[in-house]
Amino acid sequence: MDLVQTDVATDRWVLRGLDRLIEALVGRFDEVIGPVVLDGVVRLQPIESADDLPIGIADEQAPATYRLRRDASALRFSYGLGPDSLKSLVHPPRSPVWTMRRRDGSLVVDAAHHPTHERAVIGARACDIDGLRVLERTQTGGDHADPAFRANRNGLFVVAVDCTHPAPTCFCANTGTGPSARDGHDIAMTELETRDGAVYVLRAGSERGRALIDELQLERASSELIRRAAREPGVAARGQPRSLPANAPLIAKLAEHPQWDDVAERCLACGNCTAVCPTCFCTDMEDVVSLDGDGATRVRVWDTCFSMEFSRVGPAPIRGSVTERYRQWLSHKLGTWHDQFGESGCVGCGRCITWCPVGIDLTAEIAALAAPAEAAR
Amino acid sequence: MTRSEPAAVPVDPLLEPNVQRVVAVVDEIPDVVTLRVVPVEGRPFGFLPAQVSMVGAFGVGEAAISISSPPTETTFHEYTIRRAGAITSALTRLRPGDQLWVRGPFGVPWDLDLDGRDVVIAAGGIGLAPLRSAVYRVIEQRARYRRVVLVVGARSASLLLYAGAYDAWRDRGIEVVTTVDVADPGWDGRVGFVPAVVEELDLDAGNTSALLCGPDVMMRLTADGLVARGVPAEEVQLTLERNMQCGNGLCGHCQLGGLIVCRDGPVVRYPAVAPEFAVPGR
Ligand code: SF4
Ligand code: FES
Repeated sequence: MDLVQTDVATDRWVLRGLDRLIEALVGRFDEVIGPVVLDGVVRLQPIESADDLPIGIADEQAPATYRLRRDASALRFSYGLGPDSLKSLVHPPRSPVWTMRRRDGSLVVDAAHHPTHERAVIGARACDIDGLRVLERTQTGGDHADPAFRANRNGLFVVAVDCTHPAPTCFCANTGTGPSARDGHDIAMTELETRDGAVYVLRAGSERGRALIDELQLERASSELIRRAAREPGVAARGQPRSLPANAPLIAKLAEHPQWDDVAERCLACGNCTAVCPTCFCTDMEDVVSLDGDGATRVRVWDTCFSMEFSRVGPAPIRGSVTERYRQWLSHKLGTWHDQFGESGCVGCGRCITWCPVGIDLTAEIAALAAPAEAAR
Repeated sequence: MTRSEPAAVPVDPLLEPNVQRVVAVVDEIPDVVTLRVVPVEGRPFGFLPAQVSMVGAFGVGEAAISISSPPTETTFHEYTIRRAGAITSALTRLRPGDQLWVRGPFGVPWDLDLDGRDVVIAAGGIGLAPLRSAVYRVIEQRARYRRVVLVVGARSASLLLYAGAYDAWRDRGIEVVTTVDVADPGWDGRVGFVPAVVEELDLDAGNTSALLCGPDVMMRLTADGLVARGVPAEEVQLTLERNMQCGNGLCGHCQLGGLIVCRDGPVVRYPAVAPEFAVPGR
């Protein structure tokens, strides 16, 4: 995924409508994934043509609130993030590890094979692409890289779209992860509304992205479009109301503070926040036994540090109370992630705020934890 | 754009299960058995004391168990397992001839390069299991160390692990001190918790190193006591037990603050965990 510096800096192409690009992707990849409205929610789903993408959709997001409404635009990306991040593509909720069979008392292992699955995703947002990089570091950065993750990631061709309509729950301007894709994409586009409908200003992020642009024989973008594409996402992100302070890593690691009990009173320990988080990577193992009892498939499944079982050692969990479990989540995400992986686990996508059923907002929790414990009492 | 051929990604041997066969089962104390295992093909892998394997029972799952056999023993491995949940129950039901699987070894071992020092080894309950391979190594290289004291604690005398071996260890130059929470009639060892018994040892603190394994609170109190007496905190090693689902640093279960225990432990030096140990529920 070599970054073609000169291209990124200077070369821009223009595309009117997305038909040709998506046709080309569908022709080249085993699967093309994009945003699709499903039951009133923008989800990441397989698509076959540009018609599958939303058009003229706006969203309302707030703590514990997600709603879509129609607007009159011809735009296809005029809304913020849905609940699915790129995590669901490279680190799916369930993935087989191996199958074992028992024959005459002997165990025979069939290791799962992880062929590279050639997939393209269109409409990936900058914070999610950074989340993918953070997640990748957890799963492939150590001594025992997960082969399934690696195969999924290597096969993924990423078409990013800059955010021109971020949700008020987003805070990528603060975390420095958005609103425009900087790296990790193969192609990035900015969607602009013009008199002729939606146009896309494209830039290449990799050799293979550039190769696809060349194959499509696209026109160079006009300087007017290039200027708009450089400006509009930043303007849109300027209004983001949320942020984390620079000392959030330290605040999140506070062991004692009455705010931990306060948030635990509200938290349902449902784990929605960890499921929608683009970087929460924790998994559990399940052994699924075949009906004849002689085969067992080991499956890696998403887990959550909010479950009681998560920390069980012997007869009892180490983190038995919701106070301890919420503290674990937040101090890991913003604090000890730095100790473990050298960076923050939060990319500012705001999903945990929108999808928390009781509207717990980590930026507000950090602000409350930053107040001296005595004042909070 | 040419489409790349789907290429199979090479697999890390630690991610692949190695099928092994139980050759002997020893009932140690109630609910605790030791399995002696050999690979169905090839020889057992080498390991260092305190290193851990994921040991798996067909159709049930894997548990992280430290290797308790002598590190010089190249023909088999031993795992001492306490029946606690579904997986360890299945493992402790295995009989000679049964097969299981192993992935390992992983983790940071005890640092036993303690030449010329006094060594205090303190074990609470089944905590002696991850220490037994260290005891074997110390016996084998006994001349490297000065005094070696092993304090073993259990709830009662019948729950002292590997009790049949203590005299042999004494013969090889280890002072073995046993202590119980509750004395049965006829008990002539100590009565009291491990930290209190370690507290009473007559030590040359500045020249002492310690290896601890047991419940977190036992290790914390023992470590605090040693440090208060002048044993350098860096010289106190302990081995952590956390929920381990993968052993490969991937599943997130074994975190303790900034540590990923399967990657950064299980053996750590006390200063690395003292702040976390001071807060319950970390
Ligand atoms: S913070 Fe919200 S989403 Fe997360 S576990 Fe608690 S109730 Fe569920
Ligand atoms: S056991 Fe899975 S990360 Fe340590």
